[in-house]
Amino acid sequence: MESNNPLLVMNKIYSGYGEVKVLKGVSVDIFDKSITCIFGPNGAGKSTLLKTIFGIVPVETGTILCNGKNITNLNPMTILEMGISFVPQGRCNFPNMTVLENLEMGGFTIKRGTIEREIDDVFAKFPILCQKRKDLAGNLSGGQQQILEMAMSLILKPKILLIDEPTLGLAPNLVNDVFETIINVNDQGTTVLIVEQNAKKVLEISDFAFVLDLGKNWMHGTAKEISENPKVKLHYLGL
Amino acid sequence: MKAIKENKYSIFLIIGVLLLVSILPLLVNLPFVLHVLISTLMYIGFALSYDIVTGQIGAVSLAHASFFGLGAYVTALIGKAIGAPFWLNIIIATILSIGLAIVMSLPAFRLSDLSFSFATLGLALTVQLVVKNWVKITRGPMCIHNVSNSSLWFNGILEISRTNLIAYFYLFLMVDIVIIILYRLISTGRLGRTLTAVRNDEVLASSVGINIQRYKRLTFFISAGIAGAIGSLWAPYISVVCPDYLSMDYTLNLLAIVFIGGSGSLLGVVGGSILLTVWPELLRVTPAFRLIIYGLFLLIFVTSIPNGVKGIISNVNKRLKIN
Amino acid sequence: MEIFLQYLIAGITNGATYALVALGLTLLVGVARLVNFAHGDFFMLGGYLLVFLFVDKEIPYLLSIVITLIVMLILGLLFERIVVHPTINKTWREQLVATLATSIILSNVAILFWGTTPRLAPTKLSLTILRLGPITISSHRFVVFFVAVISFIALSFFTKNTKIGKAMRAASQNRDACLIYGINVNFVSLVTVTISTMMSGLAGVIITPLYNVSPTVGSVMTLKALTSVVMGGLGNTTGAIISAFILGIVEALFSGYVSSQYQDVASFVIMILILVFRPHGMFGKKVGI
Ligand SMILES: Nc1ncnc2c1ncn2[C@@H]1O[C@H](COP(=O)(O)OP(=O)(O)OP(=O)(O)O)[C@@H](O)[C@H]1O
Ligand SMILES: [Mg+2]
Repeated sequence: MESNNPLLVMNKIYSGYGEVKVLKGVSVDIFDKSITCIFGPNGAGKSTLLKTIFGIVPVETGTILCNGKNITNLNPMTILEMGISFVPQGRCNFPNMTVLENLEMGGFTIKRGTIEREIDDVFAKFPILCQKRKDLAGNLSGGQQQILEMAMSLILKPKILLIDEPTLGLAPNLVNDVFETIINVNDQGTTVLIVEQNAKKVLEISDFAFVLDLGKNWMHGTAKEISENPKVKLHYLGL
Repeated sequence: MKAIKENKYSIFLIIGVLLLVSILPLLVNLPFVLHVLISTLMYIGFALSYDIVTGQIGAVSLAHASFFGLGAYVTALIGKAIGAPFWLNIIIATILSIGLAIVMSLPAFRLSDLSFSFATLGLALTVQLVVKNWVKITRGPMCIHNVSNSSLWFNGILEISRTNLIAYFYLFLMVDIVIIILYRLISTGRLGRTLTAVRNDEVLASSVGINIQRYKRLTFFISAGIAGAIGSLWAPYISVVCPDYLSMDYTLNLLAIVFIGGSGSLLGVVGGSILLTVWPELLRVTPAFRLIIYGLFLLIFVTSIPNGVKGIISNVNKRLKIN
Repeated sequence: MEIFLQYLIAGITNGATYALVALGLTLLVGVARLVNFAHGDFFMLGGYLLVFLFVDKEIPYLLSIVITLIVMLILGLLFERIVVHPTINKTWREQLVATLATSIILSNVAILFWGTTPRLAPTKLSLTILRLGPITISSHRFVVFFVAVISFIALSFFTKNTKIGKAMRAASQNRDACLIYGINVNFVSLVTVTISTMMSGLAGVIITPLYNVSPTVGSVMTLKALTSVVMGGLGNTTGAIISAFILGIVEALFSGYVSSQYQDVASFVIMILILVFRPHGMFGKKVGI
């Protein structure tokens, strides 16, 4: 699984929202076909980190490389074309459109003709979506909507999937569904970068972990190392 | 806010300039020049009365011309009926305009932002429609002609006639000085400080027990009253009163003056009035052409200045900064 | 009873016109989050272009309509580029000032070209009066109703079956999400504004054989369209159409039984009542088009 050249590199990134500086020199490496998780306290800048990669939040200094190519401050459209998809925190679907239409919107940038095939692929992977294809997205349960949003992002067959707090506000049994989906996605060859509050669960499925605090790296390592770290145990795992 | 503080001495500057201007009629006594001066003075007062609402409570009222028009009609009608002295006309016009403002405020101040603007537009069109269709009283689209001259006392004693433009000039000049002082008091006095607090943080202001609605309404009434008074002075000067006086066109003139000059700033509004009144009068352009130019100005300002109207305000203030 | 039916028919056709205008506005509100004060002025221009082409230049009616629609399309594109696009991320105040400025420019350009005298463009059909028992009705009213209904169906088909139409709905339901999936909101907004402008212009074209057009009719129409949009719930297309018909009928009855001069006041009163008491519309909440 591990190779020496990371697929995505963030090098000493400073970014934020105008006057509000959030990331203060964060560095993250993501290896091909791995699951990497990020956690940390509220307001640490986890969402900002994903948004920075996706080009929504501008980088002040530092570089982001994908496959050796500099992708710093490219616009989201270009990032998407480079093979990076993003499932942001909060609802990200079109509630008054059907599941099928939502998937079509997920594949908006795909040329006509191939989209049907991609949607069939998605339906094969997520039978629940096939079953509910004619339902309005807004009428699905929270967990189903989360899965729909991941599916919408996967239509483009991204190399890297960025996911922000997919289990926020979900019932415990649905949380497992979502994690299982992420494992499946990763098994199909997609590199995953996931931000998650539930450190215990996410460490179980991850290969690598980064812990952020106040916009800086606090700790990083393999998921195993991090889950055995006494400080992490104290602050995040409740042990 | 900043815009207001920056112009601490602007009131003295403006009144000083006005006093300088006041000797002008003694030097050039040409009717045309005097007309341009009088129109400009009228618009300064009118625009300041409008900016009391836009600049102080941040609401964009589209009904301001209604008060001006009401004042003008009331004066014209009183003139036809009994011929009251100008100060009595002003008082009646002011009271009735405030009355109209009170009626309008009942629905309008239950709304905010865009809804407020829409409601005031609907109310303004309603008032205009009434004036247009109430032919028995207002003569509707035929207008009221030959509005009687103002006189300082009953029955033409000490008459300010249209042939005596200089008298009109000084009348408007005095009225402007009064309005400037009022504007100043409102923006820096108790009312102004309260409104600033409200603008800066409405939640905080209401939590310390400020009755926001009451202050906003009060400001709206004062603004309407002044507009009515100006209409009352303008009618005998221009001698004809038409339903157009209540139209959106007048409000748009004001909107252009206030937004291009700089809302919330005395100097900005006065400067805007001069800038946007003098040239159309000098070039004698048609009202339609004038409004097209204003529209284009507004559009260019709003779409191409980075921070929109707020940016213009601070830009203008920076440029005009005196202290 | 006959007289009631007569008013009702007038109300339904006027409502159909309002519905066309309101539908354009609700698209704009839904997709671009922009309340366009110049919307009714495109209606006014549509009417004047018809008068100019059909009455003054004696170009056949259908051809006049086509030319007018092409002009509206170009105006829509220009309006999006010059006014909507630069203010899309600004506050309501800038949008208000910008669209109000557009409104004043358009109505005064109309004054420069055509003066202030109201104009009418009577056609053979509008002069053909049908008698259905005691009711008399201009046959053009059927044209109005027919064109409006065809337009609703066409728009509905467009937003349900084309990629860009679906993207319009997507943008109105969750604008931020569009960024995530690479939906070109810029292009969507351009298409929406153009369609919206064309619908308003089309309404002007089809009603001018029956009613006078004048330079000031624009802001009145904007208010009526907005009343329908607010009544229907912002961005709710079906709600806007139903509300526009209600407005048209109420107005026609008011005009018939109470006062025709104050007909517009009826709709302004409705607007203010709705704004104050039902700011989220009559039909409950629904996001987007
Ligand atoms: N759009 C924004 N504009 C200004 N500041 C913002 C914006 N979004 C977030 N912030 C600020 O940036 C900081 C980091 O926010 P971010 O959303 O990245 O945190 P997070 O680690 O994802 O927290 P959470 O666990 O609550 O999701 C916070 O202090 C927040 O207030
Ligand atoms: Mg977050």
